[in-house]
Amino acid sequence: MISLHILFNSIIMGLLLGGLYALVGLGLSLSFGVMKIINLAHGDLIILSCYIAFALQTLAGIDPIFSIIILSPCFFLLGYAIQKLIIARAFKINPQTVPIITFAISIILQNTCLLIWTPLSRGLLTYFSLYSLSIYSLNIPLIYLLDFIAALAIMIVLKVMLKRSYLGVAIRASSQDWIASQLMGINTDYIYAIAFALSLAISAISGVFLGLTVPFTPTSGVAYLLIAFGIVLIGGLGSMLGCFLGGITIGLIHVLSGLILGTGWQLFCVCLSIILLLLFKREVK
Amino acid sequence: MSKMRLFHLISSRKLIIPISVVIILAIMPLFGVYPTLIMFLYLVLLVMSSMWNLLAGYTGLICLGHASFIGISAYTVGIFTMLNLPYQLGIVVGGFSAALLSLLIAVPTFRMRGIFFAIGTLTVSEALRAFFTTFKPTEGAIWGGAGIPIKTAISLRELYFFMIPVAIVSLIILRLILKSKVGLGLMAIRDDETAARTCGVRVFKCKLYSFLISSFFTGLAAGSFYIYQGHVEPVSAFGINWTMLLMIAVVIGGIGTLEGPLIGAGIAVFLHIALARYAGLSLLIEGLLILSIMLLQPRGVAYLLHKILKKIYP
Repeated sequence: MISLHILFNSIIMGLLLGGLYALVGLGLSLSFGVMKIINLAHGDLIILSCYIAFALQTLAGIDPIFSIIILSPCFFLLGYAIQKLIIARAFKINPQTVPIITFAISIILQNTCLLIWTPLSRGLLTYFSLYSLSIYSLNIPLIYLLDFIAALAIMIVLKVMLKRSYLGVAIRASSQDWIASQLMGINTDYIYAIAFALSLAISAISGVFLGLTVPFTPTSGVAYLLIAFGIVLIGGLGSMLGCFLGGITIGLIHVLSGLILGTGWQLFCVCLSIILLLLFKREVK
Repeated sequence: MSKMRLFHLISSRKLIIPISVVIILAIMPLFGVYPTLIMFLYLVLLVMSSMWNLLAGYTGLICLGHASFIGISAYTVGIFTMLNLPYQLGIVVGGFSAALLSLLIAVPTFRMRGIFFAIGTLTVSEALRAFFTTFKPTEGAIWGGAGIPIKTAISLRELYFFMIPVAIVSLIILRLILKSKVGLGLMAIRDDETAARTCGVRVFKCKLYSFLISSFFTGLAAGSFYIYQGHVEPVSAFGINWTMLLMIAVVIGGIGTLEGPLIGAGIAVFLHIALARYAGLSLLIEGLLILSIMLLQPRGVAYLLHKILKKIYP
């Protein structure tokens, strides 16, 4: 029998883990909400960011938290290049082939990581990795709290940017109707590239926090793609707050299924809940 | 009279190529084990990629969950051989179990279009992989990530001769479907689903037919392949590598053409053998190949060959 104390602690952990998942989902929600294309390489890009942070830490001795400052602009440029050079071209040839293209990118990234860093499980360890806060009888790892705060901060920044800045308005306009926004003088090709680049910059940040929280292998990207997909399904398209709530839901499912059924069943339960969600959702186009 | 008609039918031009191909396939085991193995792999991949092509090329459903049909069928065959039942029955039941799974998947995933369908099917195969990595039938049994052995006493040659009719029947059925009304409906759905629906195409029914047939034959081919392999484990059976292999065969050959998988499966098997020495690099190279073909020549090798043939025989 699970005691009430453990259950309560797990719920808190689930909520905080949900913050991390919301961060994973935010990037996908942005690119998907604007371009209506799911980037199947999303999970593997996150894992790539984990590995680069890992390399920076082991080779150059840069603290993972500070490596965000280097990683995020690099991923921004990478995203811009991928969108301009690959996805935009594929979209012009035939929109139906875009999933195949992004799937190929995901395989390429996965195997590059496998070649360079071998299939061993890695993690980002820092001096505060093992710290935890004790409030009454609850134990909260510091990393989980950091994840949650980072997710909240990025969500708020993104929301304000989308609402207030010219770029944000242009992004929202081209996500609603790209022909009309072209007629209003918005360069939609540029906006798509910027949105994709932003989504990758967020992925880089989420990658670093993911690496700090859980161990990763080159093939664990698929799981995070599915988690991000589930979050976008729960939260609705392009909604940042919905994304956050979706992340918390998936985080709770993840932790509670691990507590009740055992850790082996966690991914299965998350996948199953996504399938059930699809079953009861209105028609998705 | 009937003998004459049969003779005419055989000597008519249309059938010369298929019959000679069948004869070449049938005498392949005379050349030794290695050519038989290569042709066996080719046939397996041909069936699977043709069936993936039926979904991706003709119906516009990019399915990333074909590995779930492959894995389910493999596990069914494994369970059948564990219970000492005939392997042929196991393969057929494996095909039917794959079809049953596709029927179950169809309800939640057919309401999605395009990319949603792709990722929905990927979720199913990942869910099954996670299930089979932790599932244990009884306490103390070692299924889980270790998988189950498939012990049979049959030779590769027998399997090969089982695979030839499966491949031929699947290709004939594929052709019949595409010539029929259902095939026309499928292509209408691919080009514009809403328009097809307004024109009176029964979208759900057409998609379901193509999905069922695709999964059934994929299951048959997968069952025979895993009997050759002798062992099933969840990571390889439900893994993304299968999807990648089918995709590369179809994309290189030419997506949405009947002859595409015929060429593409050959190239994929060749790549598989040629790159076997560089295990780590092989998937990377295959991924780069898909990417470059999709961007440079989306219609594949079949289209290029068609163009060359037209120049030689105008």
